[in-house]
Amino acid sequence: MTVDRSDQQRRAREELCAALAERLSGQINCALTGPDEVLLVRLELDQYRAAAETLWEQGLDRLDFLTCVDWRDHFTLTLQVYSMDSGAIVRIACDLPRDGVPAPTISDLWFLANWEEREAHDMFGVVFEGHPDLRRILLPEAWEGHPLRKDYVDRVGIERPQYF
Amino acid sequence: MDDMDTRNMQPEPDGLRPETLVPEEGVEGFEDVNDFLINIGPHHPGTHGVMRMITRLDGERVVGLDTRIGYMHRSLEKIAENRTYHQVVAFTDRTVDYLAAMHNDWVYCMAAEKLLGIEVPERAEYLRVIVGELNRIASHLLSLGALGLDSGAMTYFLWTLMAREKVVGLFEQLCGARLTYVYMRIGGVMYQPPEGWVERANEVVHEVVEELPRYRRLFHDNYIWHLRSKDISTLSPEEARRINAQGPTLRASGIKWDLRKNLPYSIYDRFEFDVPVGTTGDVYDRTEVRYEEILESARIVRQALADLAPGPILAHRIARVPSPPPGEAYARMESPRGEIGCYLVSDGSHKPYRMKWRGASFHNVQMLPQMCVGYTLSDMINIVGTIDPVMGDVDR
Repeated sequence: MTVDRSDQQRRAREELCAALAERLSGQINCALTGPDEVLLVRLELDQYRAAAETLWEQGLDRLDFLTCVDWRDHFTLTLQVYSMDSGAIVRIACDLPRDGVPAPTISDLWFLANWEEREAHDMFGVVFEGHPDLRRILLPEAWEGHPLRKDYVDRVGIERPQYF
Repeated sequence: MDDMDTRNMQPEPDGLRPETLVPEEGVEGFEDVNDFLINIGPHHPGTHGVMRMITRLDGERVVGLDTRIGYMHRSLEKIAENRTYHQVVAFTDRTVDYLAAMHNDWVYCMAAEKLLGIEVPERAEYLRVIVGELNRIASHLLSLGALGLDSGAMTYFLWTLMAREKVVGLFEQLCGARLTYVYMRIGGVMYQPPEGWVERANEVVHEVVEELPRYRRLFHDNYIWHLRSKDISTLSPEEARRINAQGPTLRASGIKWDLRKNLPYSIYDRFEFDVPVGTTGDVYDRTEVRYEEILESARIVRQALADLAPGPILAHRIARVPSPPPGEAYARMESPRGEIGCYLVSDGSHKPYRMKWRGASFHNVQMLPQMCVGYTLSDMINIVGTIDPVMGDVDR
């Protein structure tokens, strides 16, 4: 049973890699990476939308998460989707400048990406171009700053105790 | 007013202005009034927490819904960036879905164990499955009871809470807490079950399962409940897939998808259980799926209790302040409300560099307009009850 599933997943993975390479017309890194063995595809920002469309067309219609990581000099936009049919999981990551450059929206593909993008906008200040309703979601509209940025200073300026 | 799409309403900096609650024209004599806005929440029993639903009504029929969340935002993800890996466990069970605290701790620990490369002892895996499924029973009991309360069946709520109390008592014996357990640790679980706990757990599961036919006679087979629930908020399999419905909502639409079965994590591939599915995906089916899932969870708990072998419950040599190598890990599992996940990024230091929480309720609440539009206001309260939102999970 387990062997079948991993075989099936490997085949699905190879098909996905081929489809992505064809669409993006270039070589992409298709190895399983990280301790959790998902297919991590690193992309440029201008390939992000095309890659997302390819994954959507390949039947990966379930969204796990969409988020950002702040690396102080740039953001990494990360999207993980999976397929209910083949069980294939793909994570795509692309670097994004911290300010001024919008990311393309994928909320027209995955329904759940709508609020995930709003949350990333709220917490990181990323602008998603083409999003139908980009406003803050968890914080009030009048909030200043984006809390999950590493350089965020909250307005009260509390000195937090350092536990370690 | 007619061309106003409530789903895409423009934000108002300081909330809903009173003048938008009444139409701009036609108030005199109400001649032209055929739809109006009504504000439900943030504090309302029907929202199961602090959520605001700005509802556009045509008579009693819902024609638009704008959901506002964030009233209980505590920024778990920022807190986690300032704590060590072990300290975060205490936050994941009270800050997010507090009705399924075991699952939240578990998924965080799974992600951290992946990062740290820790192998969990077998007995700990069994204990995790046992408490996880017991927690699912408790959560579903509360969910069903609260739905009964929403639709006027007060007695049913009290009955389910009485049964839930027994399960919660088990947790209290096990770890001293009744809601926020902090029972999971990175690398295993915290306590060995006390003497007699396994027998008591078997008894409790038996008692809960014995109770269920009573619930069916009182509530699930009740004619009034059938009138209130059948063909309300039907979700076709295609639509459920399109909006990425999850958990009992997805299964009620007839799609047999359960992470425990389809992409097994932990040791779920060792147990025999079924995945209950509905047919039409209406309010009735969603409650039935939850009802059946209690039985299936009871099956899993019985098998796990029977197979529970002595052994260590915590992996060896786990650092008190672990610093995993740089990398990222994602763990996910089937919580009572759907798929939850935890995405951890490490930069090699002793604190998580970034933690992203995938909350099941956050995504369920997003689907509300798709489910509620077209049904009456009283149905809407039931529909909110069937997706079982926990605001801690939505707002985090």
